[in-house]
Amino acid sequence: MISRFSKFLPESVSAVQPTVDVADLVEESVAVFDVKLKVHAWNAEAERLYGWARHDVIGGAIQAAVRCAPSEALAVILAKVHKHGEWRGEFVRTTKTGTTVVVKAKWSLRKDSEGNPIDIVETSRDITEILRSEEAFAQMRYQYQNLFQASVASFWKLEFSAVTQLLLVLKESGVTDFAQYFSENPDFVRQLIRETRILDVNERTVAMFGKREDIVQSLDPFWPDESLPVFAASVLASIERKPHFSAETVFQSLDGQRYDTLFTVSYPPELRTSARFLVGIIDITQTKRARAAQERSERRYRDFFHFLPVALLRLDGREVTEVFRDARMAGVTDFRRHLDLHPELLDRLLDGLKIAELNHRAVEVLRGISSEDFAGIPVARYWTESREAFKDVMSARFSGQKGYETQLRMVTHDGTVIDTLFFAAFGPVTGEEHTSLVGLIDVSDRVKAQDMLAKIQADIAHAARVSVLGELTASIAHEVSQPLTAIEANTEASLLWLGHVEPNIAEVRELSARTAAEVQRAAEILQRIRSMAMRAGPVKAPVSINPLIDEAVLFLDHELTRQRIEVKLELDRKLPLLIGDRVQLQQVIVNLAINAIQSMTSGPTAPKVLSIRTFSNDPTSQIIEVEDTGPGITPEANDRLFEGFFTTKPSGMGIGLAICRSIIEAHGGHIVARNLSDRPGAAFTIDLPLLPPR
Amino acid sequence: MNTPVISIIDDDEPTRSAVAALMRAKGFSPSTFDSAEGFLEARGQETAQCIITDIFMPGLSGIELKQRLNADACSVPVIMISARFEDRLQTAALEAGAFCVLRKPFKAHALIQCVERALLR
Repeated sequence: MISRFSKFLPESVSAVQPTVDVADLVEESVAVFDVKLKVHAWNAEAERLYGWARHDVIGGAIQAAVRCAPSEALAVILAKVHKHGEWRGEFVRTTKTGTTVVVKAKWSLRKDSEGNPIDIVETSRDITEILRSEEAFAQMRYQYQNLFQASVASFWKLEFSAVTQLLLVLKESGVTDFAQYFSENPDFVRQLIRETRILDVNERTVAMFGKREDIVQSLDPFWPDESLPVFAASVLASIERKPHFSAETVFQSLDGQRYDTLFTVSYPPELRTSARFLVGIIDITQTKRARAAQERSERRYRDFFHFLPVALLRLDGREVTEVFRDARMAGVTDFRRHLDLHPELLDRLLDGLKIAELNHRAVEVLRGISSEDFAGIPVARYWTESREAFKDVMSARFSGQKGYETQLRMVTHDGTVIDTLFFAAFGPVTGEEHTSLVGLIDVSDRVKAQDMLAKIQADIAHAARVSVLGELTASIAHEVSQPLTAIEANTEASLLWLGHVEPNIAEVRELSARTAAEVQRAAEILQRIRSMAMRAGPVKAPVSINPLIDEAVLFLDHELTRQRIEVKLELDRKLPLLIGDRVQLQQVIVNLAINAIQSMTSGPTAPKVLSIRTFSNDPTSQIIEVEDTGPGITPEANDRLFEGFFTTKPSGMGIGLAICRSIIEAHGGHIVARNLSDRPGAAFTIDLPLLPPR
Repeated sequence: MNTPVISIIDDDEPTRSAVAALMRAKGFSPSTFDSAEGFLEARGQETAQCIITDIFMPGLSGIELKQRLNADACSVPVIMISARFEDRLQTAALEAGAFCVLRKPFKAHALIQCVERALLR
């Protein structure tokens, strides 16, 4: 090694110090490497600077020893060295211990006599400290300039000799606890303020408080009563020989303008004897206002977040930022497709997004007990039913939308699946953390209610058709009465002809044919009414009776409430399904209930109670009973109750019970009516088999 | 033999024919019209001894027909029949001077009695 260095150092030096390499005496780090960057020499300073001993480095590549972040690529540097014979620049290198050093380096190319490159000598010097102090200097200069420019501060030169006198007198009078004395004697503090003389002020003070000649008198007008304690405290600080005092307080100008200020006073020892102090006042009205506004806004956000009756969650996740960044670097524009192609990314997002915060309502909606159940939990478990929707949400986020809303299914903390209205507000795209605010509205009940409503509406439409029949009574009566009139007249005419001495058989035959035609016409009218009341093709499907009753009561709720009728349901909830047409069966129940309501409102009945019971006496049938507390069924009516067009109501048609019976019989069942034995009222009993006849 | 002419006005053909058959069976001479306008056009009031008319028909109603006849000082008795019968309608018919009013479906005997009484007047 020594010999190697000796070779390219002057002979004289080598001769003087044969045992010490002259390169070790140099204050700079010296390394020699060949054009392929393989190290041949490494001096003591290089060992010290980079931490690598010679034997660690020699024979290896220079960049292996000192990891390097050069300003230029090594290849470029080498090219320059070959072209110009040298290169100067800076490296940021990592030493053996891992610390980073900035070095100023010079590479020199040595050539043999024929001009062929032999090796490169690098000399480098650690400039980390220099840079650091340069930086510190720059920072100091910046701060100084700031200070210099801080003419925003108002400065007052004050004179306290009278104040000092007053305090001495007070001390001689035996007062020891000045703090207590000041707080008990605000007038004394006021006197101190009055006795404080203003010697001089700066321009800023003039701008804030009034004309210089008006200001340069007593401090009194500028110091409002509410700020007395601050003055007292500043005097105490002085008495206690504190170097400075500062507090937020209110000042007022000569024309009454009030300022929130930061008040500072320093008591340099050299000024104490002269009882003159420099006071600085910085108007922080704007700052205070801004701070208050910020606090209000923050509070509003907190209130909004925590007390809004909508579930809100704040989600954080560095993963999202990373996945987005990678995707953008890969040139992805269609993020939805990107997720389809890389399903693992979806899981990374779902696992990476965590609940940072959620409000009370969110805990409720997601079926948790407290917000701690959710702290830091990845959102993956809530999205298992809506992975596709999650892709859409992320895709919206990726494309820079500010928010997104949709309807989707969430899996709650306890595993229940709920339908929700989902809306997200995305935080700023820049920044390391992905933050978004998510709102959830549980619409499960509403979805269920909508389904039910749709069903009931269909049923109501049907029931409405039936009730329209009632309104059509007059025209139906008119229609039916025509054939009946003709039948009656034809029949009577026939009888008259037959009673003649010479019966006109031809005429009678003609009349009989006409009569038959009219009977057919009447039958067609009835069929029309029937098909209107009962849908064309009954649907036979498994049906549960109790829900039909619940819905029927719901359907009649308005009428029941209006007529002040109490409803008593005694439903055997364990009844099995039976096979039937749910709409038709419900129509029967509605009809019977309407009958009951009408019977109870036709006369003075109290109390009005509609009772509906379901039960079963044997495993092959079910029984529905509808009872009222009306006047009951008259004996005359009892026999003809279920006949078409029989009615006891002044405006009724008598179609209702006839249709009920035909529906029940079509289901293979029976319907009977009776009066209650123990009290007034009628009961209709339906006996339905589980299976209808074939 | 002078068989009384009974005019029957009804827009419902089966009813019209059936009433006519009944009248014929009773030995009367029925003449039928499907509207009041048709009856007036044929000047049916000049031959009829009794008029049986439906009340609700397209065009002139039975009551309006009676009012026209009253205006012409025609005193042929008019029997009114109708499937719709509110009290108001019955009053209106009687006020117009209907000889009798029957609600469909009526008993054939009731109509025959009305006609016979009308002819006796």
